[in-house]
Amino acid sequence: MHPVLKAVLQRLSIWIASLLGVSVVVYALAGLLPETFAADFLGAAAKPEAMARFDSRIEHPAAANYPGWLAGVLRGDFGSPYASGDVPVEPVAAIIAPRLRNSLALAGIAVLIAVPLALVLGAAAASGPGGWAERLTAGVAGIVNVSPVFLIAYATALLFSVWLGWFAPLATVTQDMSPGAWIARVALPVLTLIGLIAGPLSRSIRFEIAMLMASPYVQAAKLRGVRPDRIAKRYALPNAWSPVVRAIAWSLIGALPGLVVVESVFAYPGLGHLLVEAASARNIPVVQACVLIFASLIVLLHIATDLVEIANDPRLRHQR
Amino acid sequence: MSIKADFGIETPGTSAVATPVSRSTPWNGLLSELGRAPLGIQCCLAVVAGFAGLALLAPVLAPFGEASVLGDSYAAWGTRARDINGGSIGTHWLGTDQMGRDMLSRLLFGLRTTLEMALAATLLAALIAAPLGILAAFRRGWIEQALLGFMHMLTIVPTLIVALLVLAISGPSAAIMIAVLAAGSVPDLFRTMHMATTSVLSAGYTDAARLRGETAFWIIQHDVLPNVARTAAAAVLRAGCVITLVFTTVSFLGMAMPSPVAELAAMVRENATLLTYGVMTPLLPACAIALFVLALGTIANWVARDLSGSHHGR
Repeated sequence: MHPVLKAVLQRLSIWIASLLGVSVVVYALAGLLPETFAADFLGAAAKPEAMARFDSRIEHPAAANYPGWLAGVLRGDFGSPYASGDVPVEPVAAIIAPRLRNSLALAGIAVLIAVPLALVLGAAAASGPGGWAERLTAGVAGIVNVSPVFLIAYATALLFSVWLGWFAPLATVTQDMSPGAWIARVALPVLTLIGLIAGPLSRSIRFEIAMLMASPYVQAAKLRGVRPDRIAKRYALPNAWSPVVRAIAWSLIGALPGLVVVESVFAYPGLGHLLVEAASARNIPVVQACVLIFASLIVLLHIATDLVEIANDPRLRHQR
Repeated sequence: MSIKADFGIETPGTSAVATPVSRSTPWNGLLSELGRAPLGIQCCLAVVAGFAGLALLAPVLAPFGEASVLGDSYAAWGTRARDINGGSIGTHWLGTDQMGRDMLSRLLFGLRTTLEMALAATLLAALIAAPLGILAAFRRGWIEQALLGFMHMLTIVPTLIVALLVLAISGPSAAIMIAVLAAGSVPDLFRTMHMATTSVLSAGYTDAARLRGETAFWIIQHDVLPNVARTAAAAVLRAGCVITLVFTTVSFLGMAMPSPVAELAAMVRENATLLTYGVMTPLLPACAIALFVLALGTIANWVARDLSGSHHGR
């Protein structure tokens, strides 16, 4: 087998196995629902018959049912949410789909701005140690590292909404909004997310570039008198792809809990907000679906990182 | 590094030939090292100690009870507190919260809750991770591989999301919250311990100890623990920072503690309405969390300074 293909299959199998492991845990955890759950969910005043009916509708996990559940999940069927009445409810998938779209839109905009911004700031910080770019990135990354996300979100809201009055304090968007109105509504969560992603990411980019420029082959090229732009293009860049993509993926994974908090603070109808709402309402099937989707997104980022790494590893391509 | 230098200066002058050189105990060494720490680090130590003191003394210092509803909601700073008959019973120095409870008292009790939970989770994580890390380093082979694989699994889903899932199933519970937080920090601490122990075990002096016939327990006590102590301490302090941030985030989202318990981040959520009027009070507990994490993280970096120092030269 070709070494590249072998490496790809190896990484893929590890991540798919991990994701399967996560799905087993997520499925099995629902078996730990306390005895009193029906009363907790319906309220202590609920009639015993209603509680019994509710109990009978809950799917209790069993090892034999796991493959069927997993097959459903793979088809996008996450079952039905818990409901207090007997009225038929929307399936979990129908609740989740618009929320996932909203989250991807919000995160997509933030990432499209934050990642190039972090690359530029990180490169500027690496090229001028002690300069404004380094101090700015160190400052923002320092604040992001020690502050709870809700503090950053509220500080952003206070600055841009309460004091400056530029943007709406809540990002309550609807389907039929015009793009302009939509952008104005999501400005605060997008700004917060940009800070959360770009702060730490610019620091890791700066670190990776500094490591590259300090490497023996770059030093040797400098001593041979190779022009700086040629060093950057021919020596540093081909070796920068893997660490830079890895840094981006890690920063996005690290910002995922931040997305959950930011959506909740600004009441943005995304998947993270849905996760929190469903968790407080203890609607377990919805929570399980959200967790699985987040886990899949994380694993996809890991797989993409590994593929870039394999593609940029000449030892695999030119093996003797 | 600094300790070695001190021995070098002290021993020739002070120790007589007959009396054995008095080895400083770990505690003496720690205290003298803290005394010589830079001013910034001493400030951070003072912040952490101050928060710990406030948390410990919260029942004494708090002017009012944690859950006692006293007056109007959202009273301004410095409002007089009145009993049912209208008699004055003190002052709400920081006003009252959304249910008319004294903000300053809630802040003190909330700090206590936050630090208690973070401390318990950090200790639990360290107690689980350290023995496992050492075990994995000693028992190369399938035990090591199984532990590494298990830790890899634990890190895939962020702790915040795991906490939301688990607490949605169990309902709000301090014990389960602590367990989830600890489980989230175990992989990092485990890997740190595993790597540090592995590097000690590959050193010549442990080979010598093995050839002398020393037991694994002796090697752990005399070779491993003294050499990984600083790395482990820095890793535990960093875990404390992460745990504090994750716990407060879960608490902010309303999932961690049952209702009347005061907690810093939950207070932010409860009183967030005030922010829309430009009143800063809800940000006080959030800033307290950030200040605590900043101080703890700075101390962690300082503890780890000699370890990273060797990399700067390259």
